Amino acid sequence: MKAAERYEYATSRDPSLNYCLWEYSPAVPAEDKFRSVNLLFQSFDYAGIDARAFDIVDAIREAIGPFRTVFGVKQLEDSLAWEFYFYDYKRRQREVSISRVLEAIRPLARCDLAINESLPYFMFSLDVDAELAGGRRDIDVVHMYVGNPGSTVSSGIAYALRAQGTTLENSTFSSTPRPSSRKPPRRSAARRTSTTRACRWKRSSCRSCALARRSAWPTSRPMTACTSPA
Amino acid sequence: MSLEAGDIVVDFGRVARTASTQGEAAVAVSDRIVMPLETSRRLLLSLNDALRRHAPGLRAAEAKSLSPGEAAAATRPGQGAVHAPPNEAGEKAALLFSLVGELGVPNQYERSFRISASGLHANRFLLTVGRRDIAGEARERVLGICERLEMPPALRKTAGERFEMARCVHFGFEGDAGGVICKLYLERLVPDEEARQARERAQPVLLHLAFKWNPANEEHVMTEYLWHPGLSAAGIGGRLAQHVYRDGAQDSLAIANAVLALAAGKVPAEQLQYLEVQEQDNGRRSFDLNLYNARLQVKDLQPLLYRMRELYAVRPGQFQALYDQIKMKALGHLAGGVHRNGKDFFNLYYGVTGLPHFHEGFR
Repeated sequence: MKAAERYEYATSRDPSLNYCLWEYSPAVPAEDKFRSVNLLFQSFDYAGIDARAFDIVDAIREAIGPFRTVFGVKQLEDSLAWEFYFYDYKRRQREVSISRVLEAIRPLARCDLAINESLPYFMFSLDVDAELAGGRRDIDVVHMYVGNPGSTVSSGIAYALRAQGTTLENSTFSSTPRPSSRKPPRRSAARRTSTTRACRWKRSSCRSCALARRSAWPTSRPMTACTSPA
Repeated sequence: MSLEAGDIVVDFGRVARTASTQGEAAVAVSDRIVMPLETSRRLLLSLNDALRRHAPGLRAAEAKSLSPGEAAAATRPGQGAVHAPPNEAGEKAALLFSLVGELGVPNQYERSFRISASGLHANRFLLTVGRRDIAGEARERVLGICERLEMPPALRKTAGERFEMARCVHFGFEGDAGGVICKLYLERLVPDEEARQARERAQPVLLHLAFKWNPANEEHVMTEYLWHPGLSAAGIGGRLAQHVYRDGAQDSLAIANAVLALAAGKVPAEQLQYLEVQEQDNGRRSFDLNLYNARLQVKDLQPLLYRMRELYAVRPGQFQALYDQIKMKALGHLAGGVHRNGKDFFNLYYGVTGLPHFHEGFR
């Protein structure tokens, strides 16, 4: 089945969520227009990866529900890669857990990592590429994000969970930009994010990793920048 | 604004002066926008979206030219009913659930939707009970339910006369803005020998007899469902082309054939159940292909369902809202063809809680 045959359309009940899964007011009604997940499907199609990639998306949506996954598409030197991000701000009372997502996709992508669900993470992400979609590799790392104790601004610390152990990947601080005196601020302006986060793909050619560059999660205000909840 | 070579052209300018005494005006065009027709359609939708929120203000502005009384009426918000009007379809559906529940026997529940040029209608379902499960006088209890659902007496009399054929009973319901239709299906147990002979002679056998009525009036119809036992995929395809769709609707025929090919790729077509449907005194000519043995999910038909949506110009968001809810359900059966109103249609049944007992021993 080609991506075009999978295209989905917004319904009157679709929520409008930004890339941190915060609601925002859309400028116009989205009903009958393309859902953003079509971008993901089209990128799969463009990359020509195994159709199991679509099945992974279906399995995740079936397990945790629609509109609860954020995706990023990354251009590497000669291929595309994807990262799926999962948010649940209830911390340990979370509904969307690493274990739940891994269990949902286990028939398609195995992961033998032992997950400690008692940790107060509020977000995690999984790397997807052609090798994983093709069943030629397992999930060998889960990126887990926890709050930054003592910080007075929105921030988080990312850890990589691997079979060999847990390593600190990066930390991110977000702050609200000062309005420019020359240009009026946009309504609900997005905050500028300073980050020490490194591209986890460790490749200088990862040019379009939008989330790696702008990783941020809101404290009290929704952000207008939006990627694509699937 | 004009249409030039398939593009919409919008000119902007200023009325310079009156060119003649006939009221013509000279316009100095300052800007011109040329856009493809499709782009202009999208622009129109966006403009309508943008204007919607300003509708009260626009109404008020337009009312300024009216008399005070007319202006007051024009700008007054619509008076909504204090209580929502009763929903006939909802009440009838609830009554059917209640009455079948009172039988106190196991039943199967199967939903369906109809898609046609008339739109998408998803308020349809079947409730199935085994005749032997019904304690006491099954005929009287079943017909009693039909009476409560206002089945016309003449139709009830006919159903009573044919009731002995029933191995199981299906109560059907469909309701939309156009009204409610209630149905009673009597399903036969076709003996293996009869089915075998029918296959050898390439003759159908009666499997269901259905009685359908509109509770709001005396309209009713009796429908025969004829089973063609043991048809191959080519045989089913031939029946679709030469009987059901013989007068056209080639796009629908292609969709029906694609569904058949998908199912036949999972299980031999002989293990599917192909029925043809006919009614006296109208032009109904349709089919019903039982797909349970193929063990498919609704989502397996996604591209074909999208083709149906496009064929009948159903709004994509409306269809998506239904599809999101049912895509993981078990695929039941597909009906289609020419309905009694002469219109092309498809019905898709899905999500039954168990497999039906239809001649599983016959292969």
